[in-house]
Amino acid sequence: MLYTDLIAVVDLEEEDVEEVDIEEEFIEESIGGAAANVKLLKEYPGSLILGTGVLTGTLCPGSSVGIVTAERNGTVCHSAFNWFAGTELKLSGFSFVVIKGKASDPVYLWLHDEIADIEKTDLWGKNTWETTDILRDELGEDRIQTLVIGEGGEKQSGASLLVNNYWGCDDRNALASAFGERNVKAVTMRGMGEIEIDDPETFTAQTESLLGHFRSAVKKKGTPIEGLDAITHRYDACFNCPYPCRNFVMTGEEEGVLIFQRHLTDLISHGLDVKEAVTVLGECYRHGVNPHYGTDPKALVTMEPQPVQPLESHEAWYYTMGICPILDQFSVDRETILNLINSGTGLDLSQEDVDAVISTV
Amino acid sequence: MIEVNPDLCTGCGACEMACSLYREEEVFTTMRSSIILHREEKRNYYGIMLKREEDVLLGRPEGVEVMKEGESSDTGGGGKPILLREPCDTCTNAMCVRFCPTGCLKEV
Repeated sequence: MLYTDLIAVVDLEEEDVEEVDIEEEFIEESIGGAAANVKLLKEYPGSLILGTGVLTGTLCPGSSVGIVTAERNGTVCHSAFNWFAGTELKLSGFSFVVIKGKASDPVYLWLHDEIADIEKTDLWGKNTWETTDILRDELGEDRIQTLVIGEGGEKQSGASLLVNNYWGCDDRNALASAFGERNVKAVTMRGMGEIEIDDPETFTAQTESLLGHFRSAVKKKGTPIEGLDAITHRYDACFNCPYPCRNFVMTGEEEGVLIFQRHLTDLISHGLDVKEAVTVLGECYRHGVNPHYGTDPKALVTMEPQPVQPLESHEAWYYTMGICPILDQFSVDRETILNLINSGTGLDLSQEDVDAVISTV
Repeated sequence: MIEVNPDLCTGCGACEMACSLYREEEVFTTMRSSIILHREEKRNYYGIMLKREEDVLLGRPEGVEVMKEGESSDTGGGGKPILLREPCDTCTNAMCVRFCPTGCLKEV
């Protein structure tokens, strides 16, 4: 059905995790990603939800996306996390995670091999880079993916930003603060899970054909920001993406910053040149704050709540499928994706069914 | 046989998923792959390791090397899991090549 088997329902107050089987009906009614998160949020009001799209972690090009969902200022908000975190969440055995209540002391969640551990931690106060380094060291694997908060999330700043390992997510609504409110410093993910495919032969042929389209259509790499190519070390792609849109810029001998276009553009719009902007972006990611709101990371860790920024019109579909919306510019045929979902899940969804589900996001 | 051009690698990891699917046939996982992506994330150093019958092929930014049994890869331990994997069986029409979006992997 294109998912690993379980939903983890984490009760922080009771320090207990319930493992709920994912039923076919749940996928048929909500497909996945943002739409499934909305359904879970209705079932568990006030929770923080992590979810994967129906195609996340598969051979469908661009299928790197996982979604965080929570209510902010009375509005349901979503943030995507890409890189390798969406895939590792699904492979942890938990395609969805519901986080209820508030921990009495800071904790992190460790999702691996169909086990969800709630671990008390003294990492509160550490920046995101230190936190990821320590967690990877403690848990013994460099490829563990983290969703982590810095000082911004801890202080529940209106400018807080969720960070994946070391790099900022497209968190436009301070969902990092939803982690901070619950005393959750990080969620860590890695696993040996298996994502079942209903009709592997058809699914594989369809994804290969789709990849052929992208091979022809994608003629560029990196982010189109003036001066950025000249300082780029390498162009990186998130999991299984045909478009390496992430410029990596070295800021020291042994470290650098993985660029997310929106964040760097924001800093340049505040008056910084591209080199300065890269350096400040690294600091923003360490503090877990969103450069949309200014150029001083330390000032951004305490900011009042900001107005909700809704999803862009095309994003609800991508966030439900688990495909990165950056690929929208290369024309993603929705009929092809529908066929992929049906061959992968064994469902018989129509375009109208999909549209109805997307309208719930 | 698989040839690697590390200059074309974007670190997307599609090869791992594709190789695992070749072995498992009906599920996506990364744990059965003969290919592992090695990454040191903060300095953006990454490359491909391919386990073969007699050795491990390393495709790294500094070039392509072959690591024989008993040799160290200087990957800081991050590449060790490759030693536990099944070796590449030199299948034809290889999935890792078919699903590499950049042409970094080639069948020769």
